[in-house]
Amino acid sequence: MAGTIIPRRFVEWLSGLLLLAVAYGFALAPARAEAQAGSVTGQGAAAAVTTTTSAQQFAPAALPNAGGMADSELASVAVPSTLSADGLASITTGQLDQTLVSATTTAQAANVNVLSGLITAEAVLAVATSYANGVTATSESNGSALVGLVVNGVNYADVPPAPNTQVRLPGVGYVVLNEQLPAGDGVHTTGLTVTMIHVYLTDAQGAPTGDIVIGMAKSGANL
Amino acid sequence: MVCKQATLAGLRGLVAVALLAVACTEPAGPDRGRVRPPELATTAGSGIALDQWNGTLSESGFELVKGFNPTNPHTGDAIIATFFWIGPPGIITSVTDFLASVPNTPVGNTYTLVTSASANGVSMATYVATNVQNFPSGLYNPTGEQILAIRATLSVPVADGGLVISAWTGVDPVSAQALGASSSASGVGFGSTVADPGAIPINAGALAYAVTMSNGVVSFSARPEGFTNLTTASDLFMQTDAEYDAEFAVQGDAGTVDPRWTWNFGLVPSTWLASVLALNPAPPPPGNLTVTTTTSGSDLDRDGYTVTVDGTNSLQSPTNGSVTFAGLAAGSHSVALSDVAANCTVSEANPQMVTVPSGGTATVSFTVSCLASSNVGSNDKMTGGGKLGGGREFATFGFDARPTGGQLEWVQHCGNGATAGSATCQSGSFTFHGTVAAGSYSAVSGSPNCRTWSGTGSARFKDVPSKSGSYTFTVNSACDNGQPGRGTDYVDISIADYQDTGYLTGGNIQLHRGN
Repeated sequence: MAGTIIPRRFVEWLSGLLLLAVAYGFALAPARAEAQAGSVTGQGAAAAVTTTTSAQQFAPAALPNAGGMADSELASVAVPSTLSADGLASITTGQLDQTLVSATTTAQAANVNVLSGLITAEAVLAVATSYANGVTATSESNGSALVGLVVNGVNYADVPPAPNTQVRLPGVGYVVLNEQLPAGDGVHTTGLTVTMIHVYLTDAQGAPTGDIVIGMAKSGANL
Repeated sequence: MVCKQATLAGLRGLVAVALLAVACTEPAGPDRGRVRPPELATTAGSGIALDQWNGTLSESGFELVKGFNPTNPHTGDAIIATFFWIGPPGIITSVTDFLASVPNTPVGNTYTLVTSASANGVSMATYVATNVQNFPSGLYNPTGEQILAIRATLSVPVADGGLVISAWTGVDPVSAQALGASSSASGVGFGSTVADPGAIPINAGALAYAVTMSNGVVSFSARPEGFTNLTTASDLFMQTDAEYDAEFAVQGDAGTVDPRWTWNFGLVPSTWLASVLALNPAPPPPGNLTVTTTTSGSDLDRDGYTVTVDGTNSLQSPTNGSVTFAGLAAGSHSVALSDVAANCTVSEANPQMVTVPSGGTATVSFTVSCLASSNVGSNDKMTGGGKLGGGREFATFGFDARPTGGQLEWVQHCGNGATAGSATCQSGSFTFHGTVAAGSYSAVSGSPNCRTWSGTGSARFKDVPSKSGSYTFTVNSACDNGQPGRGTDYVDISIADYQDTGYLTGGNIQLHRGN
């Protein structure tokens, strides 16, 4: 498998870039003082394209503060020379109970083509799940998948790459596969953002110029 | 003319009796009476009818007594006995009945003073017994043996007196319900003088019984309009000092009655007494009401229902079957079905109105339809999302289901398109968005962690677009078996001919157990 595991501090830098670039801002679990009653968060997008001048999300879904369910689907998307895909869907569900708060978000797309074939995948699925029971708080990405992934001519097996696998894309920037951004104290709060394909676009000097996201799922629980 | 209602006037020096004997002039006592042929009951247009009657004057001493010679009334009748005498009021110490035998056999029916009048030395009092019993019903015996007789016992002897007795079928057997209004009056006048006991209200079908007595040398110029003469009597001794007249009418409609006689008293001032009373009819024979319940659907209300008539009379009804209310008063009744489970609805109006026929049976039907019961608390709910399957064929889903409804999203991914023989990809990839039907959410028997629900939604098929359309779905079972949900939580869903079942390969299901 091609790719490398990127350092933690680089992930933090990426996280900051995300906040600037797209409306994926993930409010991490609130402080403990606000967490007595518990809270739940969930957000998903099947795809997103952000440039210095615009930001687009495809099949986005955001969980209501009270929990429940939200979903969105899109038969296909085509951003010329940037992104095409079909079967786009995201679903987020969550529930606040006195002894358990949980949230799950899935985001998926099929027949993905990024940057005119630089990256292709038959199926992309991000799954983020968080639990908090007042004693422990955990999140996981189990169920996430990249099927038929090809990056810059390199085929990947139908298993998710290791979290935060970075692959350079000469002249374009780089891509992070199975990007995972955890949050929370692991006791009362937890959160996880899973982005299965995250292309960071840079200029010749390495400055960010935009990004392309395929399969982004976030979940958070606080109790 | 001086008229006084239900009070006594001062005694007059002379009491003249002139009893006009229209029907009979009788010697006193059951065994002294003139033998009359048997009479048929006279029906007056409703349930109350005259059965037997008799009357007499020329009695004296401490008793006024007469029998129903030669034919007894019938048990269950009401008996009206009006006593007349020359003398002060209030001297009747008891009214009893007995069978004319040797010795007399007491019968024991209760006679209640209903109304009385007295003025100027003449008096009369009317007693009523309802639902009379303990005598040979309808016996015809010209010898007088075993004939029912009525006797008033007096505290002081009278020089002349008598009575008229009448028996009536169809009167309410309960005395308190049988006795209607009554009124009495007295007055003094000469020439053409109206005797009027006063108007009384009367119920539909009730008997109005009216009687008047005078101490004048008299005749009538008018009797009460609308009334039928029962008898007019006088006797030889009292011929110039008193007479009485009894009338009756059975009312068709409720209203008032005000019987009035016009006595021809001549030039000598005379006294009149008059009374009127009402006896209510017996209620019509009761009827029966059969209530049938038919229940269909799912999760039937196994403990049955409660059927309530008129808001108070209740019986338990089976889920499918009938109950019968016996002895209901004829007429209109409300019938309500209650204790119907929340998942069941009654098709008909509830309550229903029904008319129970007298002596017959009315029927009422309730049709109950039940959906799968919501055998969980009202705030029970289940949310979940995640993934089933893996590789090139997997499904992602999310749902939010509760007793009042909810939604479900199901996305089937088939990397190889529509694949014959595949458990989940025979029709290829599709997305389905469904709405949970209210009332369909319930617990799964024997699986406390699981819920089931159903609904309808629309599907969009990618590989077989012609299949896109509306479908029903059923989550046969969704189970929260703990955290993490992957590998433990479970889903079994059917969308038309599509079915997917298994433990979650990602995600979680969370059940909130309602109260």
